[in-house]
Amino acid sequence: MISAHGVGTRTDLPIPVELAVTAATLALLISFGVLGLLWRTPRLRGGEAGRPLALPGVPGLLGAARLVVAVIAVVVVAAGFAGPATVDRNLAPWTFYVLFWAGLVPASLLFGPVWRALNPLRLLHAGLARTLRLDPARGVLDLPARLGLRPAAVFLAAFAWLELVHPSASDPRVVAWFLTGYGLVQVAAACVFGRGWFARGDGFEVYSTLLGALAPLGRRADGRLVLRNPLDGLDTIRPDPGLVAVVVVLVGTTAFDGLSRSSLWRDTVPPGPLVGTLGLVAVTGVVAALYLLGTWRPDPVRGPERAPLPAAFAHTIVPIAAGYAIAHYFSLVVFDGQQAVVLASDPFGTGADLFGTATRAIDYAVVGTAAIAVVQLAGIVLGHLAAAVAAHDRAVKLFPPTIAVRIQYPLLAAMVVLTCGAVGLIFAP
Amino acid sequence: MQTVRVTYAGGQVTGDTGRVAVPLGRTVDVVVTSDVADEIHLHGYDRSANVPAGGSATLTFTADIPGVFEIELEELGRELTQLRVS
Repeated sequence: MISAHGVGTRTDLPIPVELAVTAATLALLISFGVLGLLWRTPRLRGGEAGRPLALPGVPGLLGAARLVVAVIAVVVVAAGFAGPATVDRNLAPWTFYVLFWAGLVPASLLFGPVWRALNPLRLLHAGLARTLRLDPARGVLDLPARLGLRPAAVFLAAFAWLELVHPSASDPRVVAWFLTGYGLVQVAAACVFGRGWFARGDGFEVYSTLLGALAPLGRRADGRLVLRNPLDGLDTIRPDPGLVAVVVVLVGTTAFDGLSRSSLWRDTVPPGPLVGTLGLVAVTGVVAALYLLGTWRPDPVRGPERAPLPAAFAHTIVPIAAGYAIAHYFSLVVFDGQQAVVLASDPFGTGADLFGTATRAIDYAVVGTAAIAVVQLAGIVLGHLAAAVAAHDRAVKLFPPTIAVRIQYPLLAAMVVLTCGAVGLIFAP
Repeated sequence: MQTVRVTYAGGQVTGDTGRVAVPLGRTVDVVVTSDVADEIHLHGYDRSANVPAGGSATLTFTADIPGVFEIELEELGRELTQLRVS
């Protein structure tokens, strides 16, 4: 399989120039529109918002779902170690990179923080803590609050390096070793710091939780399950320390994924992990610089209890990160996700056909290139819209109207650059 | 009928490298000459052919799936070229 990026049998065609220009123009118009409409009092109600849902609770459903996910995780790791040695016959890389990593995006955007609910490492930790007689909730040490979400940012960056730079990222054995190592480190950290570690240190869980804030399903501040406007959900994301690092890593690494597939990159740059690492760091650095240029300024009405501005606005980047992910991974999930289903019928290369799918091949006709282009652009443009609206509402929540307008100019400019960057990446040949 | 020619010699890839445009529906011959024995693999279409050391091999297929597809020397993990089918 393509040695450069996890797995992938195919890359998308560049979008037509007319669509690219349209999308970029829409991004600009949206930003001006948001500033122009200028609502002066905050409209988003965050944790107070939402219409309660009366969903019949099935007792034990969540427990059963967790068990199923745990079993699948074990099978994936086992197949990675003991299944066929080549990526085209082994389900581990496909399940991990496509169904899990890329699939976490639509799953979380639709249903909420699914990985927080289903994370098998939490199950493992709970069992281990009981065996070792450790306190599962508090652990042994306190994780310093000022670290915030930075551990998750580090692990997300490490995963991105594996997926995008490691020369054998798609090798089933490499995937199995990474998953094992990742699981061990995470569970050990949770034993030390308590299960609260996962919400701050498990990159995949933090990713799912952030994206999940945009889901129409959510939990209100009083704990009730509600149907709500995704923008209200977005408003509930807390400005924790390290949130900036997490969103910057998410956008930067996805951007590098797109950049490194382009002819521009492949023709100019010599291949190899060193160059790849430099590229990944550089692109993430550019995103960080853009965001900080947009938000790092003296807070004119800062009170001691308020988070610094970059953290207070970092949640607005989450829809942009979601847009980037949709643009880059939609077709991967639709096409290469099928391969995981095909390979699941014969996890250990024994000639089995457990689900009847072993002889199928990827059906590339399920979605056409025009539909793919539309989904890519809709993801990017809607992400920008959500981001701009969230930024405006946060600005009027934090500042009096005159200051609120001024504060937004640099941030909206940074968002336009990020959005046009996303469009450029899917336009570049 | 379209022919794409790539040569792998002394660790260098020459010929129709980079990204080759292929009209959707065209029948394509991919001719690979290599100084080492390996398997050429066209991703997506999932076609393979063995190329002997010092010899050539040809992959013939109909480009009926749109997208960008890599052709690789499978054992070495070296990309030879990319076909852009549209």
